[in-house]
Amino acid sequence: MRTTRRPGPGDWTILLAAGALVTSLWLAGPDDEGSRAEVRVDDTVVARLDLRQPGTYTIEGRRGPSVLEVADGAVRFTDSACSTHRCVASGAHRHAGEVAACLPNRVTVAVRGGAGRYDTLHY
Amino acid sequence: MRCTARLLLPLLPALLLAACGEPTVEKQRFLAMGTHIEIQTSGTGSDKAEAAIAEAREDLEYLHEGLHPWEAGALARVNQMLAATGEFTADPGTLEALAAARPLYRDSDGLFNPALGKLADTWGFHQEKPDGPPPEDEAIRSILEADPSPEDIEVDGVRMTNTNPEVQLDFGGLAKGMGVDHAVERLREQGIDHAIVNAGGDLRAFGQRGDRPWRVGIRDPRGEGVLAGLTIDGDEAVFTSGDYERYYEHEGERYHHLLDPRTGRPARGVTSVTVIHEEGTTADAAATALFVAKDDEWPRIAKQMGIEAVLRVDDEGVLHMTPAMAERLDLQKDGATTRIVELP
Repeated sequence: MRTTRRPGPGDWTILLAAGALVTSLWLAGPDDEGSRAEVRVDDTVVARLDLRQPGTYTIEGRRGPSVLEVADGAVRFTDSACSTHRCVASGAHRHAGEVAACLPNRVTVAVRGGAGRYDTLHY
Repeated sequence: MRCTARLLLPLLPALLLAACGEPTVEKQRFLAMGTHIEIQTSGTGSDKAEAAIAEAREDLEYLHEGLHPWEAGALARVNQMLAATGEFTADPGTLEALAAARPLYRDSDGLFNPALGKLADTWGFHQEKPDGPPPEDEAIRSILEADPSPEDIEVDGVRMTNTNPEVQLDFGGLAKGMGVDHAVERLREQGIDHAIVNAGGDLRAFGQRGDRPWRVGIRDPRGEGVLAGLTIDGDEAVFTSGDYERYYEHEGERYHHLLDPRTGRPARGVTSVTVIHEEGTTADAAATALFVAKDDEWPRIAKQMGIEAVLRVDDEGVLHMTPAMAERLDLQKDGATTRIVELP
C-alpha cells in the first residue's frame, strides 16, 4: 500500500537549491560565453562587472584611467592611459577564460562564468 | 527524513560538485614577464597551491628582469659588453638562455636567431610602442652582411667572448617559453602534480583536471571566439607566434616583429603558427622559426626541431597542419579550409 506525505521544509530547500543550480547554468549562457568580468589593477580586484548589464566604467590604473564598456554580453577597453592601445585593439571579450590587459596601466579584465567548455584559452 | 535533510543541506554544494566529478581547482592571475599570467592547479589544497604559485611567480619576475631585451638589466649589460667585443663575465640567466638557444638556432637553419637584436632595434621594436618608419635598406644590409649568430659567442664557464660587434642578444623568441618551463619546474618541486601555466596565451599544462585531461580553447587569431579545442596529453606546451602581437603601420603598410633573418624584413604570407611540444622553450622558438620559414621549407624545419604538431594559418585564412596536429584539434569554425601537410 503506497503512502504519501506532505513535503517538509528540507524537501523544499533541496528543490529550491536544485532549481537555483539549473537557473544559474542557464543564465551562464550557451557554451563558453561568460557571465561576468573581473577587473584588477595589479593584484587587486577593483570591480566585478555583470556582462548582462550594459554600462561604461572608468578604472583608475597605475598611469591613469582605463575605460571599459559592457555591451551585448561582452566587455572591451574603449580607452586607456597607455601609448600602444593594444588593449583597445583587442576588441570585445565574451568567452569565459578570455583576458584583456592594458599592461602599461596594469589593468586586466578576465571573463568568468559560462559552462566552462575549456579550462584555459590559448591565443 | 527531516533530520537527514538538515544534515545533508550544508553539504549540498560539495555533494553536487562531487557528483559532477569536480576537483579542487586553485586559480591565480597576475602580471609578470610583461604579460598576463594565469596559473591554475588541480587536486591540491589552496594553501599549498598558493605557496607554490607564489614561488613560480618569483621565478617569472626574476627571469623577466634578467632577459628584458631593451630595459636596463642583466641582458642590457651583456649587450654592451658584446658590442665592445672581447671577454667578460655574463650573468646566469643570459648563459642559460644562450645555451638553450644555440641548438634551436642550428636546428632551425638559423631561422630562429637570437643574435639579431640589433635588427629588431633598427626596426623600432625595442620600445614599449613599436614605431616606424621602417629602416633604410642600407641599415638592414649592413647588419645582415655581418651575419650575427649565437655561434659568434664563445662561452667558457661564466666567461663570454664575442668576435662579432653586430651581435646583440634578444631572447624574445624563447623567453616566455623558458619562463613557463621554469614555472612548471617550480610547481612540480613544490608537489603540484596537475597545473596549467598560461603566459599571455602561450601555455604549458601537465597532469589533468580531476579525472579528465586539461582542455584548451585556441582563440581565432582573426575573429572572435574559439577556432579549435585541444585536449592536453600529459605534459605539453602550446605556443603561437602571430603577426598581430607586435606591429606598427607606416604609410598604410603593416610591419610586424617576426623578422626573416635572411631578408631582415617581416615575414609575409602567414598570420600565425601554433606548435605543440613537451617544452615551452622549444615550442616558443619553433613557432617563431616556422613563421618565417617559406611554404616549401617549414615541414623540414619542423622535423629538424623535433616538432610534429604544427598549425600554420596563412594570410588567406587557410589552415595548414601536420597530421599530428589535425588529429588533436577539434575544429569549432564552420567553413575553414584545411590542408594536411606531411612532414618529411
